[in-house]
Amino acid sequence: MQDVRIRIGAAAVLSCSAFVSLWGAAAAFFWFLLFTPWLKSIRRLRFAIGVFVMIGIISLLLQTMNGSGFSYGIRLSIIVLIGIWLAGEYHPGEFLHLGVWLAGDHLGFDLGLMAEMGMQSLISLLDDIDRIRIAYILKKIPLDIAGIIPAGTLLVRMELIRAWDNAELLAVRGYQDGGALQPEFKTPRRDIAAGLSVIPVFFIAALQFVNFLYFDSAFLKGLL
Amino acid sequence: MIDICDLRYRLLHIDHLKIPRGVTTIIGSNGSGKTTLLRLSAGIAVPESGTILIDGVPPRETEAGWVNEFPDRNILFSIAYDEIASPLRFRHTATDEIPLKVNAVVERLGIRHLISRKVRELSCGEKVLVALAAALVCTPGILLLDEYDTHIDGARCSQIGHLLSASECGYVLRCSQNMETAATSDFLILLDKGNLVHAGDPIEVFAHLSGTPYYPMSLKVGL
Amino acid sequence: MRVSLDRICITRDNFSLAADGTFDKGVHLVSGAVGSGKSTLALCIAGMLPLERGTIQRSGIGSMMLSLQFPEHHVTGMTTAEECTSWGCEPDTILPSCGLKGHNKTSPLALSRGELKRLHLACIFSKSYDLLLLDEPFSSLDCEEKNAFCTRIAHPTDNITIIFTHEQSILPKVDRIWEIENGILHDRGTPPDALKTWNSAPPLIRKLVDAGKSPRNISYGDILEAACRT
Repeated sequence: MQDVRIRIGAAAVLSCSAFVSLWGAAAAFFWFLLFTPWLKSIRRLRFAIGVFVMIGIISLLLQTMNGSGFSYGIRLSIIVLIGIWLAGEYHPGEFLHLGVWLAGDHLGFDLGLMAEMGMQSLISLLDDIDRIRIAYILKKIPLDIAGIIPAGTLLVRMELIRAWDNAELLAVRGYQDGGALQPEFKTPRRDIAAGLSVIPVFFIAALQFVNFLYFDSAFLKGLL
Repeated sequence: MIDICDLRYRLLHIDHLKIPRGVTTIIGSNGSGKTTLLRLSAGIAVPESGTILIDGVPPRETEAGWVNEFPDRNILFSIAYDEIASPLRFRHTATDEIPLKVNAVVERLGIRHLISRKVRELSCGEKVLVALAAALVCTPGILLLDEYDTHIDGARCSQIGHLLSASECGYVLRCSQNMETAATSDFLILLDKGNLVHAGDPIEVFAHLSGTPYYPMSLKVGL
Repeated sequence: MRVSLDRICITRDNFSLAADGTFDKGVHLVSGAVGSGKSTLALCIAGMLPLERGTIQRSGIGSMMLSLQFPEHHVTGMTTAEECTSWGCEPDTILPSCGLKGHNKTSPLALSRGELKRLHLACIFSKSYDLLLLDEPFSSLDCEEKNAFCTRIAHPTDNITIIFTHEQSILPKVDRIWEIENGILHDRGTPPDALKTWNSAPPLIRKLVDAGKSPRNISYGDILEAACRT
């Protein structure tokens, strides 16, 4: 999806829809299969294994406590899937355009700049992890549990140094407050169709949620 | 003229120094204060005492272009175009002027083929050229290059040397460990342990360095 | 003891590199423009990167070390003393030898790049390796340090040393010159014959060869001797 505005808006609505109801989660998943290169996202699932394990544990606990675990597990898993899709669709530079479009040359540019530099830091972090791994291999130091803390401390220090360098570079390039940018977006018809298709997903989720509030919610019954 | 008077900053200690317009190279061993002098001239650091004035104006009030020694430390954005346009954007330049100025500088440096590329995928030499483009795009009054030639090969070094000589910058201050490059400057400064040892015409300064590794081979063999 | 590259092919991002040849005992120089693939080749020979095609055979190589271009990529310790220990070296021996006496508790990342490079080269040279790969060892060093490095390399050893560099000024004596050009690793041979076909030779060496005064090797002393020849 090329238009970052539609992409992020869709992800936000789909995530909320998936969170509030199982029907919303099902509709969001159907949307995901229809409008995204879902095979690419499935391949990236391995990066979120830790998250899925956590969701699984919490789901089991909830299921034993009050029987809502499976619903929780399914809904959260759909949200994570949407998140993986969103992360995979990132195009460098687009947050700057989105920020300025949303909030103008000052606040918007600053927010977009922060987001872009944040993404850069994330990519650099992955590079640093790889380099530390090579350094450990070359020195024949096993990267075990005991080695993770010094490696992690090193990573944090490298990020701090990088942040300092970036601050100097921003200053010397004349950054003070915001910046000038003419936001540009590519909005193919497919993106518009995908964006509009999020509306029925929202209504399906809202319908079940309202149904739950008025007819199933013991708390609300008690209030009324 | 860049006027340095009673400058003190950490180990750097310069009583008097006048740097004329043109290309100046600062040489010396690691830890001699070369990068510190560049950072003070760019306004990145502020002297603890003394003054440094560029045509009577403090560095922070002068338009400066900066290229760090390490190619990866010159990167703020993912795409080369955004990197080069960033100084113009930060200065709130009119949005229709930005592409024109970026195009002008990329044509001058011959890097049109790089502007849509991801900066981290470029070679060190290409990263240096992108950083140089970002430094030149605002037509700075002073251009500061910290050992930019360490991570690039001879051909690229030569190309950048020609560009620097032809640039519109009044002052180009660079550090280098390449004495052949230093020999081509208009003005040469030798630092040692934070102190100014010699400054002047390269031939005169190098005359004091005969027999040391800092004496250019080209002068020694007369080629 | 040898390293054989058997029709290897490496492809990364926007470039590809083909290499075929054998590195025997001695000092080898692999030159080429920045971005030609020297660092990538070094990583492949060290076994850190996969090959797309071909094989690399390391015969009689019991120990190997790769020195990376940027010294901070080697850092694993919180202090310089820990960093020395991580290399298997004694801090009280190494730190004074590279001008860092009294800096035991300093963070390696707080050192300048030149200091860090001196530190890690000192640690590497304090041990002996059958195969020593040095990726841009001259970067971040000043002229005196480059000279000292060339002197260190000139010490006779019974191993394979491969220097990957685009350095044009101060170089050590080498036993064989290689060059990466247009995505192919070329074996230019041994000096002085190699100097005639070495396209990325430093300008001074090129001028001397063109003037019929080819140096016997590529070190500072050799160039001076050749220039002074009548």
